[in-house]
Amino acid sequence: MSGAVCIVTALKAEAHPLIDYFRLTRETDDGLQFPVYSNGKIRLFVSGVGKRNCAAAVQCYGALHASKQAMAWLNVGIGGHGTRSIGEGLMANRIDDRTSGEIWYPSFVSDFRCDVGTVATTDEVETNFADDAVYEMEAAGFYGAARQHTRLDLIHSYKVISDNKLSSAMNLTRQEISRLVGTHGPCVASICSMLSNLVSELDSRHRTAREYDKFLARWRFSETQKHLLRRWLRKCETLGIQISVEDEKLSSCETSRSAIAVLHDELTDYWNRTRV
Amino acid sequence: MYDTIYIETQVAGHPISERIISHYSKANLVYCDRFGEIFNRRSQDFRFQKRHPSLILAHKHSGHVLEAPDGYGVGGVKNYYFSVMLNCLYDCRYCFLQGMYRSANHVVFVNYEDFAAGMKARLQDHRDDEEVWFFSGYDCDSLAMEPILGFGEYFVNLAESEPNLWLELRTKSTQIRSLMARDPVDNVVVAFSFTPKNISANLEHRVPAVKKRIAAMVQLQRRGWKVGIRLDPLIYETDYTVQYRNLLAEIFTELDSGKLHSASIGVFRLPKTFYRNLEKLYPDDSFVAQPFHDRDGQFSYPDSIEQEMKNWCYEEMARYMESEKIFWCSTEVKQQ
Repeated sequence: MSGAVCIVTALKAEAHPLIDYFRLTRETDDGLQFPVYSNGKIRLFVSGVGKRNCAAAVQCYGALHASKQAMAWLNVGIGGHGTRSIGEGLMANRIDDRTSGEIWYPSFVSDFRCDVGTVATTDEVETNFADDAVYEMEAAGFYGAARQHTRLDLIHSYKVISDNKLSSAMNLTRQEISRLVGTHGPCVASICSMLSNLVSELDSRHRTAREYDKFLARWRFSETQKHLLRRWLRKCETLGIQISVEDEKLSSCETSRSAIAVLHDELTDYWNRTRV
Repeated sequence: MYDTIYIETQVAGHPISERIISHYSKANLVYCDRFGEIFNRRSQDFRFQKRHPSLILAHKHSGHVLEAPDGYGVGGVKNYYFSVMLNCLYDCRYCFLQGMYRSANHVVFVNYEDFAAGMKARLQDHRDDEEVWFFSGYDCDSLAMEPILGFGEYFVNLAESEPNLWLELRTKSTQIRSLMARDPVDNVVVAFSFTPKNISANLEHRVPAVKKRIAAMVQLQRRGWKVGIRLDPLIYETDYTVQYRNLLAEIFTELDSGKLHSASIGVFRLPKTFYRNLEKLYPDDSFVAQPFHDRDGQFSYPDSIEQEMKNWCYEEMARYMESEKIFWCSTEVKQQ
């Protein structure tokens, strides 16, 4: 597993078993209102209960970190369901915000091999369970905020059934919540692993060519030129066109413009080389 | 094949929806109001979705049949195209769909009857003796999912009842069973797209082997169906003359060129924005990374290579068939 995945829970009791499972340690304070736990690849924070708290925490963390690198987001928590048994887990394939009417459809671009279903986000604890859905209080806020910071295909929500028509949420203790979430550690790990692979792939797609930094160190490029440089160096690399700032043609360039012109010539010459 | 099928509630009970769903008993069904809630949203990733697409069953409300761009056709008076499906089972690296959509999920518009009505309405604008062409295979492959969609079967029946409705089913698939099981229809052409086998192996992922496609085409021709050859897009490689010469030789060894309906030739080209999207999706792909030339917003080979390839391929094709049956596909891929 290599790419970063950020897990968000509403309660400390939901977070503790995952902190233990992934051996996360508390990160140093970077000005956030909430503690963040990490093992380098997986980060976790507790947002507090309710979709507004969850959205605010995701926005806050996303603004600080997600723009720096690709990241996947996973909301893990408990919820109630009319007919499912306590302890079952499922990934949301549809998230209904029962207050605003907004609906999100997380996409399944890997074979997650998990049970799936609708998750309904409410503002109050639901006890009626009218629909075939997991009722909880964060997923819609989480999804709506996380989509500002990453690809839609990298956002998921995983819920563990904690209460149903036979067993009320009022009876839940912190220990019981931790126990329920803890039994799903392997499943959460499997989801994280798949998401992490996708993030790695995205990072690899976005990486700059090996020579890029050397070009930046040698000449001063405008933002437009940097964009062009990034594209063209990557093309050269993919096409096997050897480019180095130490090359004779480049080493004599005094300006960024002339360096760009050398790259342009190399690429233009590609077609001539194919016709030899 | 599909883990998840999204269904617009409007088409939940449609017979085509039921037919499709019956093939995927293990799929999770998710209901939605409009397919646009799932398809082509901002920040979706085509490359991720392409590996594990979901299916979306939807209702097409308007624009069922559209006028084909100028330069598109095989000799008919008027050319239209229609797409009951968006996106394709196959994964061809040169395909414009990768640049056009952010989502690789497969959308099937199940209200075939409205497409048929649209085609009949277009026919009203023409005389009974005019050949009016309807091309399928622009936004999808016409036959790749035939056992599940029954698309070919439905529209071939329509063509059978409308003698001046000419239907082209363009495909890279070998799904010809439904056509083989029935009598040929004179105003239907099954057009097979080809690139040489090495190019196909490198660029046309999940597509049946060239040899199998040729076999399917020959089978159909022997059954009495009109078939066509589509060399669109032509792909340039240093030894393209050798590769295309071998391809045509292989095709015409078995195919009766005298009975061939038509051939068309077009060079690879993509609108600038589509090409830029492709570069972002596949920066590590040596086909995509080539420094294509921007000519009036269309990215393609340098003009000299394009002209040389077109002329050479035309001449080579003309060695096997009447040149009147060879058409240029000179249209620019439209930007939607």
